[in-house]
Amino acid sequence: MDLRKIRKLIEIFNASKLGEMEIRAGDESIRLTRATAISSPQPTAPLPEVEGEPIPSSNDVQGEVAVPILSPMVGTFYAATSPQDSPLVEVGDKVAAGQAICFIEAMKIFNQIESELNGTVISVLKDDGDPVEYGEVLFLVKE
Amino acid sequence: MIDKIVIANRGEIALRILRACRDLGIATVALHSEIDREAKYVKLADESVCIGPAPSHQSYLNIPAVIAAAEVTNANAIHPGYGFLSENADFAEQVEKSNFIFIGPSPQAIRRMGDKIEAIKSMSCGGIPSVPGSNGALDENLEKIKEQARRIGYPVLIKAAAGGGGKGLRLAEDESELDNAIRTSKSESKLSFGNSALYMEKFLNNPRHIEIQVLADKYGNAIHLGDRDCSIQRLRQKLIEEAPSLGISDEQRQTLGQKCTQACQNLGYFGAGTFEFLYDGKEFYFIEMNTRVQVEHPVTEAITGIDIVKEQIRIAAGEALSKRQDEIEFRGHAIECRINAEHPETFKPSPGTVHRYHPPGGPGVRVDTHIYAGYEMPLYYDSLVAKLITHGSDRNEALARMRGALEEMVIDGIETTIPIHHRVLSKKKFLRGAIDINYLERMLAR
Repeated sequence: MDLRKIRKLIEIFNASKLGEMEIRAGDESIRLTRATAISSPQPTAPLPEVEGEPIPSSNDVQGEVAVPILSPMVGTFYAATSPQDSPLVEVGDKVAAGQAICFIEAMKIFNQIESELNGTVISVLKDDGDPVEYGEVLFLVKE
Repeated sequence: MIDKIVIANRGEIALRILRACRDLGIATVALHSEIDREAKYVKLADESVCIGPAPSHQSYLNIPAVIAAAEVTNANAIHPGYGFLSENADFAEQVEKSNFIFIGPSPQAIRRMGDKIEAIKSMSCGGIPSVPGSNGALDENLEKIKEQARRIGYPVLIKAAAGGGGKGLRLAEDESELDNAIRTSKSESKLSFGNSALYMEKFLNNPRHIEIQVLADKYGNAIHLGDRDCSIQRLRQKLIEEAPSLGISDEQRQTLGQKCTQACQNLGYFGAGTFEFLYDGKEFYFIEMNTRVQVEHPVTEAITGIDIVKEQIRIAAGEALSKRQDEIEFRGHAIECRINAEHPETFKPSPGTVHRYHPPGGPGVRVDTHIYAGYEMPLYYDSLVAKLITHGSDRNEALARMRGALEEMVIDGIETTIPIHHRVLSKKKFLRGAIDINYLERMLAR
């Protein structure tokens, strides 16, 4: 897992209300844990050892494993086949393995991208028309 | 008008193209595989796009990925460099169909010159002889082939029509070896190129490899930039190149150069290109044309002062050649040593991390490389790590500068071919210019 990917994941994590996030992709895995409770900012003090133990939080997805769905190709991201249509999936939607979740257009061909697992979409990281690289994170799905 | 170029290659040539673009004020998009993501030359580009995982067929050879990267970055031209997709006519065609400029010749020209049998036919029409041979694809009938071989004279080489890199190449010393040579060449050719068409030619004993660099624009203007001697080879891979070739008179050079520019005009060829010849017994025999920039182009740049990559871009943008033939002057002598990440005795690839890197310098010294201290040389691609080019007022000065530069250069952490260059540059025969395409293999065998 390269630094850019880790930095991106930290951004996503910071923007979320999650207490903890674990990402697995192939052989690699990363776990991000919030050092202090979100609701109560504390003066700087030695931080408690948190490894392995999730920080208590009211967030109901805490402790769950989020799996990134990566772009299998370079191209332009589309959430639906046309701007009039609603996106194939939105945050909170349940998805099944093999279900179409977006399109990536390359050389005027719309390539249907399918979910690799059953779960719930917790984050959509691309907007319609965004360029995507090979290996970029498109969605986070909670198993 | 070209304002943003996608560089569809990696390593030193990607950096070379990037530098030419920078000179011309053109924005760059570096394409890279996952494993090349952190390479520093990628970060020098204005933009970069990851096009696939490390294996080349999923990244640097992945046509839809390369074109999609041009689409998402709004580039308007694609430079293929050398190797990878540079001589793939289908790629050039798809680039054009997708409304991008392919920096290279037309797909038709690539296709025609890529087929060696077609290329030899095209050249002989223009009065450029090739090595005596079968003049076309071999018959299925072995007796007919034997008859042809007797006419050409043994030893003969069996070659793949779609060949390159020594694949599908077999030698038959006499008639008893012919059948076996044809059969192995055929299956190798089928495996490597998906095409089992073969041809046959006379095997020249110890010829030299001499090539002519040409530039042609889209308005029928063509010039040549003289010759290069690339006889120092191992397994048909060039290791040392120099310009001009020793023992070739100005008259020979101009006559051959003129035939090549004429051939460009007859073919409607535009872009940079190289006509490769075997030189034996004062005769030049055409072997093939490369329809792209060559690894060894810097030696020609050194003696002519012409920036070949910039010319490629200008030609693709529809500009006329910037120089006429009578404005091309050849100054001094230039030599290039290819530094490969290979064990200097076994030639096994030596991937790994470059711990220390120190480039040589001084007057007449040029280093084209993408490496730096900390660079990880991947196992997936070509072993070329650096090209060391020296230029001097004559061959002796160029050689002295090369020896000094090889001494100064430090690449620690991986094995390189530097020790072989030291050896070749100390040989009396090499210094006298008594070289041929088998010289290096003979030297290494001793």
